[in-house]
Amino acid sequence: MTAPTIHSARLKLGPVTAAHAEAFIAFCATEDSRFIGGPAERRDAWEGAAIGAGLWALLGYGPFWVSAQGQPVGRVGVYYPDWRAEPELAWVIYPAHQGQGYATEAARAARDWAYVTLGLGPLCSLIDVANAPSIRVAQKLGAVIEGPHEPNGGHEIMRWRHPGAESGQAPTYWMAP
Amino acid sequence: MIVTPRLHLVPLAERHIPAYQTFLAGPRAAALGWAALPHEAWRNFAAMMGHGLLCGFAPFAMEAREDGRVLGLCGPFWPEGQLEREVKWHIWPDADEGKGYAFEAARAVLGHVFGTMGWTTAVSYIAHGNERSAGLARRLGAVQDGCWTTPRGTEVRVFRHGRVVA
Repeated sequence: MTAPTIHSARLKLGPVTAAHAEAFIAFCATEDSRFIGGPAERRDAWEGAAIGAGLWALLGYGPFWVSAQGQPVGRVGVYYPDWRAEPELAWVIYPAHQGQGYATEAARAARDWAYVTLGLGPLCSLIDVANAPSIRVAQKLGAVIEGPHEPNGGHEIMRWRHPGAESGQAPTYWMAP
Repeated sequence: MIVTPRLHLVPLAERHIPAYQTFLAGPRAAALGWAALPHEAWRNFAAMMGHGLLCGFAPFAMEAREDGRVLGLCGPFWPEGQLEREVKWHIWPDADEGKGYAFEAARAVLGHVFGTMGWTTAVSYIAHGNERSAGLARRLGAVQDGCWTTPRGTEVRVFRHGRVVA
């Protein structure tokens, strides 16, 4: 399957498109991508986008590509490649679009979708201790530090644990009409 | 799906991964410099599936019609960073090499890419030393058209296919 399209208050979360792949490649060329393993060459960034799409085909879930007012602004969703111990809720919002709460809004919508549709959770997020903006997002989402994760490429990583699905709480996303 | 006398060429799916992992862990892959750990193979496989979503096409998995066993892959491939549109093939189980499966699949795929897909040219990139695949390319009517150095710095031979009408 490919990703469905879901909506939150200001954002659209959906499948990969050529425009999203290009925006991701541009982001991966910069030092700002250091917390997701960058900078990466064009070919490798494209492959990263392809793997994200392939996860949907293999697992039935994966990262959503996030748009605001028709513009690609990032990638948010559940990342669970074969070699990981558990699925992770991960988010990237490109620098030009940060500071507006998009990461929190998109990650909450993707988390709700994963809990409601897949029955997953409570999900974790793996966050570099130096990634202050992402730590703030995790806190706004109600996640708490569970403990250190194995270091990755010299990065010190903490594992954050999100709250589980709350009964009676309306999801923060809706499906495309 | 493409059907040939002995093969089904079907979209890549999770059930094809174990045979791919076994192939990439084995000596034939090692000899070609393709050796990969199981999780690396899984990652490559996910990327090939995503290739289909980004490009609209991807290699097919090759299954034996007689018993459904997974034989390998064959199909159109054009990831970012690769100079030209390619038709590629692998036979994964050692026991299924040398039976003409790759020839049978590649001929059908060439008909598909030049026919249904409307390609006007297609190449196969073949490693120096991979004489089995080079021989197959020649049997398919391809001729060597120089070499190409991949973005990773590996020089491969370019075999250019003649147009095939299915």
